[in-house]
Amino acid sequence: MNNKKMSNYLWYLLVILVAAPFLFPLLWIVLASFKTQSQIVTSPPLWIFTPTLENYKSVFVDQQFSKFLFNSSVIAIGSTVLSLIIGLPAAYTISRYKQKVLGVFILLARLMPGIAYLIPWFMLFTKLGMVDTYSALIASHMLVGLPFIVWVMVNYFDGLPHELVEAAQVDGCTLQGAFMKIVLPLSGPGILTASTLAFLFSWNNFMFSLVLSSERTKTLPIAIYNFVSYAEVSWGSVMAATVVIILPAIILTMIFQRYIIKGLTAGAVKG
Amino acid sequence: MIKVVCEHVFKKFGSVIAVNDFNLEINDKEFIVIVGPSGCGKSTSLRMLAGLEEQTSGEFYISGQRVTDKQPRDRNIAMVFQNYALYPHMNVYGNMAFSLKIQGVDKQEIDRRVKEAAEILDISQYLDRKPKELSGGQRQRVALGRAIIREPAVFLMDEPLSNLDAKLRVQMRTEISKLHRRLGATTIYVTHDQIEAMTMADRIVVMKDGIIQQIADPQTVYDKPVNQFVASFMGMPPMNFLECSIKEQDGKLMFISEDLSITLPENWVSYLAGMKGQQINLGIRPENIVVDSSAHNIQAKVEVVEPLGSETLLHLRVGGQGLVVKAGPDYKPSVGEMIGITFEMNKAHVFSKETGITII
Repeated sequence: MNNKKMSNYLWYLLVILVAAPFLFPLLWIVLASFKTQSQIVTSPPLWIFTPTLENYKSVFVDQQFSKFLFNSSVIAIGSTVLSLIIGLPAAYTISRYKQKVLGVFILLARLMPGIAYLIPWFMLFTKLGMVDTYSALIASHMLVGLPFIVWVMVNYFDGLPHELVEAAQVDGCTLQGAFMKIVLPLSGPGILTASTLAFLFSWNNFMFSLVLSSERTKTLPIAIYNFVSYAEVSWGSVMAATVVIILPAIILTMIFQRYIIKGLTAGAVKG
Repeated sequence: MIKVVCEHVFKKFGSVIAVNDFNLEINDKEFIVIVGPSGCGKSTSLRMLAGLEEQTSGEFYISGQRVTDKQPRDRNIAMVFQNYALYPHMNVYGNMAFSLKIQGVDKQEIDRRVKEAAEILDISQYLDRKPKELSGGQRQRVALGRAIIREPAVFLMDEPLSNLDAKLRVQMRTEISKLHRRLGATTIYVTHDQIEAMTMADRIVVMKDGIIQQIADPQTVYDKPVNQFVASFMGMPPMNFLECSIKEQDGKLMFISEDLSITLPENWVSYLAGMKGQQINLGIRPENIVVDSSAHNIQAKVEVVEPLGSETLLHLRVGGQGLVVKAGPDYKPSVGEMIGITFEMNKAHVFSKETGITII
């Protein structure tokens, strides 16, 4: 019994040791977001202080962060939803008709370094007058989201017994009907995983947004980048803005972690 | 009048011919069982009839209508799958009502038919349960319920009992037979289990390597197999085969092999007289071999004794060849003992050694 307790303690100690290097910067960011500029740069770091909301006020009121938050949301939700609309039927088709080669081609689009697309896109979207539009940003973010959704969902659909769809077809469904009525309702965890991660890819995307957005469609990562000016770096605001950015990621991951792990390993082992 | 016709159906997977010239006419209310070892093309044939698999060539007709190019939903069929294929996100009621909802049948009518089918299958108390909360037998009943509720022209069943344990399988077998009698629906049932085929079928279709070997009622398939494959596939334990040659000794035609010589029955002589000197396979079922201490012409060595309670299976060796014999439950010779046996030659068969085709 004691041995078991002991090994439990050891286990937690190990977990803490591994997690600490990852969690410490996060903790530092959150604390710093509630500090004044001078408190932040104090060495050794202050652990006990009177928190201030000034940084958040500056971020949302002076820097119009709500606008960037809105832009990021529109682009992340837009690209995720569009990727789902295109990606789910595509993934199902690849899975059902065993078009693995097609799947690999789609993945190739994802494996290509994003930077390779940047210049052609910039030229294309400039010609089309689409730089600094939501459509251009959503389209560019789909380059990441769509292949990811297809890839995760192909594996997920492979794990569904195909007799279910056949039964639905015999029961009177078209293939599309069976997809809507049987396949999609059974794919909740997979869709949740794929869309959460696609959303986060878009939410965190820096490179495409940097080149293709401007004042009107500026997203959160670009806004933070703009905080760093020649004259000074307002660390408090940067930290507050960082918290705003990482909060949705953390919340989404916490809520869906169970499904995300399930979704990522879908089809790996027969359930 | 529901008649199902399969005409010259072929299915090729690349260079492999999975189904080779499948021809079958199924009469109204008939219960057809397609039986064969795994990979013989029986399931593929059924799936092509259902429209779930495309045939390479050939035609299907249901009730006189050509359905070859029709979608599964337009063929007026219902199918029961081996793994039940119940919709996991719907409860039993939802599973059974699904097809009627799609057809746009009104709610009251759906309710009436679901409850009626549930009553027939004795699953009324499970209507609000999800499939995962049911046992295998209950799931199979729901799958049957989902099929019968549609009142289709033809029921297709693809090894519906093979996921069940042995006892439940026997029980569900009789229930499906009862259900068929009650509904009188034309049914095509695929199985690899020859007992299911024997007990349920009006007619059996025996397949091997994509080719139909024999179509006949169960007793005919058992008593008059067209070839050695059918003879060995139907019956448990399977028919014994002894390699012999036909020779003339002392003016009589005999089956001769090592340690074995049997005089040909009178009525066979005219058939086999021309085959003198040729090799054949003599087929005899375990129940047609009699242990007889007074018999001296065939002496067999007991190798294994398997008492089954109702009977005893004896694994014997005659010369170099093995034989299985069904004996009475009280007969338990010791291993290594030599015993005398006789063959009931009027129940025996003779197969060509080259082609396996039945000669007698």
